[in-house]
Amino acid sequence: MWSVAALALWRRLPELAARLSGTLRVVLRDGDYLLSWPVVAALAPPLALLLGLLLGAVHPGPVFSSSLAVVLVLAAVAGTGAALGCLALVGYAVGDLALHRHAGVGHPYGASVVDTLLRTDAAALDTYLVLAGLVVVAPLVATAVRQRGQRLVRPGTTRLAIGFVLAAVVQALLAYLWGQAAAYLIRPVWSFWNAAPDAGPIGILQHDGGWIALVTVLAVAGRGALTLLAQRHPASPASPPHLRFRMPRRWPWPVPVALRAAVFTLLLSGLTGTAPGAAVVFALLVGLGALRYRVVPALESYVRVVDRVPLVLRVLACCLVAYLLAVVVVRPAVSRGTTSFLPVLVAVLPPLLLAAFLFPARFPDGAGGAR
Amino acid sequence: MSGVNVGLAVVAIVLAVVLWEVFAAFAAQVATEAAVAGAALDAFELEFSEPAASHAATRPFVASRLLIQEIMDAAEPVTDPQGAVNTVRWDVPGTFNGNAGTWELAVNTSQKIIYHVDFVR
Repeated sequence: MWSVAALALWRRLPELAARLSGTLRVVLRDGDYLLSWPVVAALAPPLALLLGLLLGAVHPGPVFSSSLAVVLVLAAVAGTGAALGCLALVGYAVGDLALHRHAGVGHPYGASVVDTLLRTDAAALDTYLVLAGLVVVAPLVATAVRQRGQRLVRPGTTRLAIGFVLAAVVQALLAYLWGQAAAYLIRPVWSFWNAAPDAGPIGILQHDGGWIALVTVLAVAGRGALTLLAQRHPASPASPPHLRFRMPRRWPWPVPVALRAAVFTLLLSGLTGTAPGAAVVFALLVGLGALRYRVVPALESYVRVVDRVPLVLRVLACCLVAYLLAVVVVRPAVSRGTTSFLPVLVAVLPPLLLAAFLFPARFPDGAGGAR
Repeated sequence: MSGVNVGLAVVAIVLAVVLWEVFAAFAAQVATEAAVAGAALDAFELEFSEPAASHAATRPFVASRLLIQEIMDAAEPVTDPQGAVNTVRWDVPGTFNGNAGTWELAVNTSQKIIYHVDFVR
């Protein structure tokens, strides 16, 4: 019975999710080393969902970072894999939206339904997107880097150990940087209601990043130990073998471009401040998306060259440009005592332009030819 | 805004957006980690031959390491029927987007090169 439940959760559910997104399938399978212990594999997903639900329902303040403990628990779950992190995120969102006793900012007395939808709920959605960076994106990127990197070492325990050291470093670094970014990206919780941000939740993200990174390292180390143990308890292959695979329908390119632009506009809305500012950012992001999906892929010889450059190096190139722009544009503005986030936005957009050229979207949704 | 951390914050914000943007490309590089008895090959040790890679546009599943690993984990391979040296082949029944057929994979195990991957209805 446990085996059936475990396979349903770690095999059938991801295949069903693949109808929506090939990437979601991979997310929901990141952590399937647990299949070596069917009872654990069957219980862990619902427990992660329940844990998220509980945290969403009882966390103090208006946002997850009002409590360092909540962030650390979610970081620990993310250390075990993107699948459990994703389920904890879904649970958290449901608990926060449906069960949390909201009061104060975002919930003024007599607010209209439209105001609540566009200001409170949109800001909440933004915080879930931000949280997904910690519990879904970071673990999956760390897994990808580890699996790619560890192949340089001969198979065996040493390979696994080196791989998980690499994964722990990558995921902890991402978790630390996530804290720095999240401090800016969760501002809509207050700014959508023209309120001053609460220093508590933002300070936790900015100043306690070391704790988030430490918990992440410990959780990834735990995952490494479990993966090593799992190799000593291999499951038998299905008999007779039957392999299901599904790729989602490809939408016309304007659809993913518009959707991504909308999502990133929401994600960056803590920096834009006003609705006209957000509209300008949306238009710019649509332009960058058109470049990435239509213009750059047409440069076939260029794409062949850029595809040879490892994905991680290209991401680092964008980060380097971002850092240089921060030094040239943002620091002087901060020194002049500006309180506007416009310089930050100005520094963020050029690296995204570079990204459009470094990551041509030839095969959307998980089938990219990137190295 | 703190002047000390502002560079780090801008890098972190760019990283947050860029990683979402290329998340699918990272996801395509992730293979299953379920330990399966008898599985000897790791999808990440394999490279594509030029002919196999050239089918990526018409066979987008080619880029999924998850799929390659699952084909190899699903059954024992047989010696390549066409007689290619050091080459084994998997023919695994299954479905692609709901259509029944066979997953085919041919790998040179000494050079660790994928010669062929396809789904045949």
